[in-house]
Amino acid sequence: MKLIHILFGFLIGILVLIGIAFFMPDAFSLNHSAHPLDPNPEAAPLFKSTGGLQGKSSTVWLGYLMALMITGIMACCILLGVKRKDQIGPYLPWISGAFVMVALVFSALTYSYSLYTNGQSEAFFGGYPVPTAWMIYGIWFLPLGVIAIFIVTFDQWFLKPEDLAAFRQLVQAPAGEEGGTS
Amino acid sequence: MEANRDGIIFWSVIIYLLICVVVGIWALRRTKSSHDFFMAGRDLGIMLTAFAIFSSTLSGFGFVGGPGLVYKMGMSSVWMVVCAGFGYIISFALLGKRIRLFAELRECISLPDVVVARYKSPSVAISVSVAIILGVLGYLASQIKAMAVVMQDILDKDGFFPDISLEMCVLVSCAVLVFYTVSGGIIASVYTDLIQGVVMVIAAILVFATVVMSFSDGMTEISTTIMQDDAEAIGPWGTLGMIGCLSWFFLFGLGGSGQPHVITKSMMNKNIRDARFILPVSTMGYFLAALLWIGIGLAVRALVVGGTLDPLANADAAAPIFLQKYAHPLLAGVVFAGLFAAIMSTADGFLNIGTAAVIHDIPKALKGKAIGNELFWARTVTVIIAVVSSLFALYSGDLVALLGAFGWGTFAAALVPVVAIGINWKRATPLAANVAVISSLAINFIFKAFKIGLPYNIDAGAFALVVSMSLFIGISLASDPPALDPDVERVMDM
Repeated sequence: MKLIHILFGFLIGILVLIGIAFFMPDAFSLNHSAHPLDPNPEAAPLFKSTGGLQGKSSTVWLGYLMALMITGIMACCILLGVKRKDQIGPYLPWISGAFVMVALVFSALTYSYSLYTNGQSEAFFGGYPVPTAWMIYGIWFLPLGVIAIFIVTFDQWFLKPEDLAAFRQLVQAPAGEEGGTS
Repeated sequence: MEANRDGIIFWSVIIYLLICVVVGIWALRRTKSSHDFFMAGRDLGIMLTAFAIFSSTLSGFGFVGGPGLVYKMGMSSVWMVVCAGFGYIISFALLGKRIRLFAELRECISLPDVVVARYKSPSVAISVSVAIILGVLGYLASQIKAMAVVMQDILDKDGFFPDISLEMCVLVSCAVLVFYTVSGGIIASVYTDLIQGVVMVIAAILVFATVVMSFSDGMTEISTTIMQDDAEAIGPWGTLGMIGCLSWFFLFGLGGSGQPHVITKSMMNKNIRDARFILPVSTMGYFLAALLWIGIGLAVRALVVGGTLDPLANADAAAPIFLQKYAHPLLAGVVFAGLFAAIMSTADGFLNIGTAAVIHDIPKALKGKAIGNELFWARTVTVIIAVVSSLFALYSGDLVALLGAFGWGTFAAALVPVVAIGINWKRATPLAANVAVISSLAINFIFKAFKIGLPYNIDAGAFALVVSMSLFIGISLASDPPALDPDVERVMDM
């Protein structure tokens, strides 16, 4: 199966999830309302959650599936960009591995969030409740590892010296020789 | 020094504006052609390109609206920030190499030029140009309005110019913006972006340190205070909820590859291989600058729910109030200059791409060639767009907010498939590209204008992005493969 078909599959998957969401009983219930401290409830500059709704297992499952689909779309887009002559090359295990890690972090985040909303965990890590710490220290910082992969492998695959040499020849070729400027 | 707080803020902003004027005068001598005006002669180094990319991404929204949203909803809007690392990687992978190769291969000076090279279709160039112009008008007007409101606040408080009108503030702030953008084109824009980026990073680091030091137990105390009032607010999804936050993660992560004022900067670096270092520098710049967004928002929420600070009448006041009450006057001065920097660095990019669409892309698509004396017309049209956007900002009422809100989502839904996916996938067809652009405009405008809600607060821009990408890929797969020019095909194979 080609990469673009997998990307298309993930996109359709998200559309299906959005379609399912329309039929969920709490889909259009408000998650939050004006905070009791709010001086101007009309403009609602401060919200307070309405409690319990977000932790519903159906919502969490739908959200978890959506997170996995989004992770898949992002991975596909990166692989599409690093592809050359229909080959993904050495990036395939690295990028796939990195996004499996992202999926695992989302899994850990979702699990710890379920415990958090049920009042079973009030543990902190790095200044935040554990599920929030997964978001900050996992989702936010994980891309730094992927960036390191790009820096190290740039010349070996992403833009090889011979590519640049071929490109220079292409630019210097007389117009029309390469089917050029239309 | 405390007694002179307002004066320090005033002079910090004045010094910053003067620096912008000086850069404009300096860049005037380096701008000799439309290629210089729109592409900086494709001569930028690593730091200039990287800082131009990150400071264009972080508009005034990051310094005012972002902290306001964290104050209002807790952690929800932090998903717009935590996606940034993935966003920059996706942009780099999809665009960092190929858009730069396209730019040099076909002497492109704008995104629609790249689109014409890729699709060989003037109609796609026109639809992309129209999407850019609509987005630019709304975005630019909202940036100009934000700039004027902040300036009015500073001048009024300081007492130098009490009761100064909003119109006068629009005039003064736009005069500086237009001066350096007209005189030095994108060269002035990227050099001011570098200064603006440095100011933003320094301001954000110092503010975050101030936030942490304002509470005896640092971030843990902030989190605990918020948790005691509302556990969801400091949970990973804030008060908006899981699915709404994920839609922001998707829209702001993937959608970064469709922001024209940002991705055109990837066409301007001198050495193609510099992309490997541009990626980490711009990502780190954004990471650090975003600390202000999270830090101030959480601190002010904790101070309010903890009873130390009165509740705000307007969430956007979170950053100014924190700076007034808790930051050292010199730091407040740097941050207010940083705020202007954030707004201007985005606005100048919009002026430049909007001008390119009007004087270069649409005439070229309609007549098959560029107009004569492009540099003169570029400068003239830059002034006209600034004037129209200023009038729009002042007199169009809610339409500014509507178009401003619809900017990011529209650019994302229109340009991610057509440009970011299109230059990496040979099967993409002109018909699919046109349908993707039209669907993005229609969905974003209809959902925002008629305030149509999606389940679980899913963002309409995210929905538009999923639909436009699905249509783009689906229609292309159902069509015959398009014929590509051999040189374009070779670049797509690299």
